[in-house]
Amino acid sequence: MGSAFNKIFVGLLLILLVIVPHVPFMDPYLLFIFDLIFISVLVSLGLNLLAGYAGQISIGHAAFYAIGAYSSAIIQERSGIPFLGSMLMAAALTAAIGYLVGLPAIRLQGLFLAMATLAFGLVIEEILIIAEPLTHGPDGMAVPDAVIGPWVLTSNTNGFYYVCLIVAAIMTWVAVNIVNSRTGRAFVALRESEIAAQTNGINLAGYKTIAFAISAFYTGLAGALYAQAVTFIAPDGFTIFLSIQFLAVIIIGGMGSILGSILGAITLVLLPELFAKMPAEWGAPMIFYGAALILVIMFMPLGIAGFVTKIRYNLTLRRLGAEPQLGQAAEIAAD
Amino acid sequence: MFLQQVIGGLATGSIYALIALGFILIFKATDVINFAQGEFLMVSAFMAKTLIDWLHPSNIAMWIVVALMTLAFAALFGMLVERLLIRRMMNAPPFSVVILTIGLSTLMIGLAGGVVWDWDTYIIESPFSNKPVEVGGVIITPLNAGIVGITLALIILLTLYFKFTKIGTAMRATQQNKQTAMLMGINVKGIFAGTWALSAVVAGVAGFLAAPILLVDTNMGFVLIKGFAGAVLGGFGSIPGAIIGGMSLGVMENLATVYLPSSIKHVAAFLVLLLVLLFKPDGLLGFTVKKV
Repeated sequence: MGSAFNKIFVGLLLILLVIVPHVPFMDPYLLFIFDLIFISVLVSLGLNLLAGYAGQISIGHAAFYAIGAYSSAIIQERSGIPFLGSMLMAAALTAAIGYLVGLPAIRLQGLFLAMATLAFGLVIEEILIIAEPLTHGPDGMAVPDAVIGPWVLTSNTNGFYYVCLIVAAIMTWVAVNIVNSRTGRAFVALRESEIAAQTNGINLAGYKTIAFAISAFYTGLAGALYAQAVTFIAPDGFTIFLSIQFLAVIIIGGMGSILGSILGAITLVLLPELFAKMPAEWGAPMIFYGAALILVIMFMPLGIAGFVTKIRYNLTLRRLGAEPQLGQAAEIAAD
Repeated sequence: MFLQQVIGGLATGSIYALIALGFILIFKATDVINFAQGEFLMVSAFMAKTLIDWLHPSNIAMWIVVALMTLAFAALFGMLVERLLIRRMMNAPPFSVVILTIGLSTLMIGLAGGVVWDWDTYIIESPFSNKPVEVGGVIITPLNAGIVGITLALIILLTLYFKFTKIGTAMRATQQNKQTAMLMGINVKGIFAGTWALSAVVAGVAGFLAAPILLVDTNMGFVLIKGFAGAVLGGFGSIPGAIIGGMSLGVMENLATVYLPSSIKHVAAFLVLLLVLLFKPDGLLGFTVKKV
């Protein structure tokens, strides 16, 4: 099960995803669900690079998502810059704000940082309402249709599906490369021990702020696409509960794992479809995400991805004729 | 005018101080920040509401019964959380325990709104009247005076408890060094359970006091961030810091509503938190205990 297997698997998956819009039973709503999955993959990759790899908790990622969504929509509405440009500008702006939010991370230890990001999220939520001339305040704003060259890509169309697919595929490839680069290894080092990382010549301040900026870039990009997909955005769509959902997703999927980010993103999109059928007053999403966070962190701290790694490890052992040793497998999965 | 706002701010400040105190008690003993502290307060407030609906307290004795039942419930709840969840995570990294308490807070909101109670907002009565009284040129309400008075009384009680009782001393010993405390024959696990119970009781008092001024609903736990801001303002990790910080935050917030544009009101506390974390992470009083 080496990298050849992985390459074939990824290739097949990509071909499948390219064909998806053309299968007979496809309808616009199902296509929309796929769009949301690609967008969520971007968010969970971004948050996982920050929290899973670099070890910096953020409970304010809904704010980055909101900044991406709103700035892309506002740029299109005000300046007439078409979608791809507005998306990149929005992501760059979000990254810049992420860099600023990362600055206190230089001085703050984990738990204080978590609180600071929480406060940041609440401040942004409030700013979206106060900055009415730009954001249309609490009523929310309609998002202009995405225009790319001669094409107008409304939500639920094949064109928009391919935009989401391409962006998600490129950014997943980028994430894999970040993780396997000097930067990715520095992230892991500072997660494991800041003192040890510093002793080895890793610039803590630099890498922490870079982690925030990269993470915010991913989330801002996702926000810009999300605005196009839902066509209407309002401040109450970006609450703390969304930030907690994002966090739950990477923990359920698997902290510090690209595969985990993707698996988590799929659950993030599919579960609400299930909850939508239940009466809202049951509070099912909150009960589910709360319970899932508790159970996963207690009994499966490496998430679904850790579980998959464990099974693959045991299969390999069996193929080699050795007895599967669960304890050992878990240790290896933990690395 | 200025003095009036300061006095008014002390009541909300007391609630913040109690939340901050609840945080610090757990943080000092177990190195965990309990993100569900606000929900402990919310659950106690809902419990108080249920008891008031059931018993209709009319005299002071009945009110004391309601208060004691609420606090007993809070203590039991705190112990249960420690026993079922936190104790199993004793050797896990703090990161995991933080995630666990975030999950717990979300779960408690869901259960409180969806299963046990509902998503409505309630105004509940209080043993103290809300009729303004003029004292020396400043208008105060018995409600606000009661909140500040009970908070101060609780703080004095806790100080005496930590100084003069055997369990209080054992708790302080555990806060200083777990291993040594264990060697001295202190039941550290028991102390942890006791600390969670105590912290939940402090949150319970806050919930009971806050109910008439904050309104009871499933979102009232968000006041947690204000409590945290107060604790950071005073210097995280110290009990006097938490109390002074919480009180000052309440006063600052009240002054901000008068002297700054009204849109700042909601975010004043968060801005204070961000500014203090950025420029003076040891808090204004510099009490911070480095432990994380």
